[in-house]
Amino acid sequence: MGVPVIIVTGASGGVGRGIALACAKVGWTVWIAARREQEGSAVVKEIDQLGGQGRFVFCDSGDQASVQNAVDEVIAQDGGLHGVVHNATSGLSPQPTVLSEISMDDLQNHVAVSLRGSYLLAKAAYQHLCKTQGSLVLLTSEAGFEGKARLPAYAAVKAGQRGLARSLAREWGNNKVRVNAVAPLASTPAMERAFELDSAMEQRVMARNPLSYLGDSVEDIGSAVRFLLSEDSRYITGHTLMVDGGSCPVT
Amino acid sequence: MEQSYSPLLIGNKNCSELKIFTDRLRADFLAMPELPSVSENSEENDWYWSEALQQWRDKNCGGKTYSKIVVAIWQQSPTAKALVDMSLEDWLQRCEAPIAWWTAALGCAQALCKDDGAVVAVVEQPAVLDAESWTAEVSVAEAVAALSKSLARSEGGRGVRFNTVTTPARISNFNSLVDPQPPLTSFPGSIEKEVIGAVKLLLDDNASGLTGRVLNADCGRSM
Repeated sequence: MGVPVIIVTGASGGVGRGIALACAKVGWTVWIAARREQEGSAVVKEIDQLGGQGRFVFCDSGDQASVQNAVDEVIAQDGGLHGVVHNATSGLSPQPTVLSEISMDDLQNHVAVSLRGSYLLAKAAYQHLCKTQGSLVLLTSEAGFEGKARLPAYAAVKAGQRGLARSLAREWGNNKVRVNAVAPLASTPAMERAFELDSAMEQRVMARNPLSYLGDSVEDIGSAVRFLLSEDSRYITGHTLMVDGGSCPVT
Repeated sequence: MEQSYSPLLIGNKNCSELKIFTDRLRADFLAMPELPSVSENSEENDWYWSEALQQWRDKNCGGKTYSKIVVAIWQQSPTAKALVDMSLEDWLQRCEAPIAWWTAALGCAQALCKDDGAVVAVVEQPAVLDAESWTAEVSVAEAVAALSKSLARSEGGRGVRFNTVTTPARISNFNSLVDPQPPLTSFPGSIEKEVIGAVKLLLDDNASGLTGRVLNADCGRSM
């Protein structure tokens, strides 16, 4: 295999940026697929500085034409695709809600970015991943395992992604395309925002973390995702890897 | 609010199998709007039904309260289909619409369940070994389990339990089961016996210490 080419959605910041930079450190070609071009282009520069080849393509994960166009752009420029990471998540993710009161517009936003985005990316990338015996990684959450009292819609779509990964791994295994999920716990702007919205959350999150720190998006989360994209994990599929410092009691 | 001692079934009205629940559980039935079909999808707004669904929930959240509630949102005739063969309209019908229906129904159950009551979500899910070409359905089932667990957490303080029963009764590829075969020859089980039995178990006061659990009523297929 030559230099791996991967695409990461929602990589203009946070965990997505961490994954992109972790892959840049080993010289991969990394496409930032995001809506925010200015922030995405800044990450592209960081990728280049770390020894990778950074690219940016506009992508709205919930829009079929946008996702297809992003994948087509990768193929047109680099000729192949070895890995796809769906990291983008709704901007409403840290917003506390009561299930009996959630608006359908908000639910649609959660579903469109996380679940429809997973479906659209998987469908658009499948033929290309077959050629490279590549890998699809979906970013889920501990919320998908254990539920969240104040974030039920977020928990639901994250659990749905985990189920999608497990089922799709069975569909794609014959072509040696692997599908896995990662449930990270990281220090990100989104996490900081969640702590602001729920003042007791920080104490709850840290009290059960045996390693006593939030993961670094590059060194802790990015390197784990890079492993699942690489040939080092070629016998791993249908799995959800908890990268959370041991926080979640359910695996 | 008026109170009742009969269980309540919340379900979509275009699935005939749900009548088995009302008959066996002697339950009242709160009918949801019909799940949309592919042909009904609108190009302008693919969640065109969302306003009506929200209105249904808001209207029914203030209704009669129950101590035992069962929620079941089932497709009329589910069939296996690989993800790459699914159109966006298929995906909407098989995944996104059911998740919206489940969210509205479980939100309604949250509002209608009396203190110290119990709610059971009954969702269709194949065992992992049989999950190929059921990607949308597995996604929905996992989402439902997470909704139920979230409600178990938020409603536990007032003694309300939320649990989930899964069944492969209508959605396994029975003619080509991957070995090893299920331990019980009764696989995939029936709604009348295995599914209703698991629901009764979780609704019963003897299950007062069980909440946030997922019980796979699949004759041992997923163990």
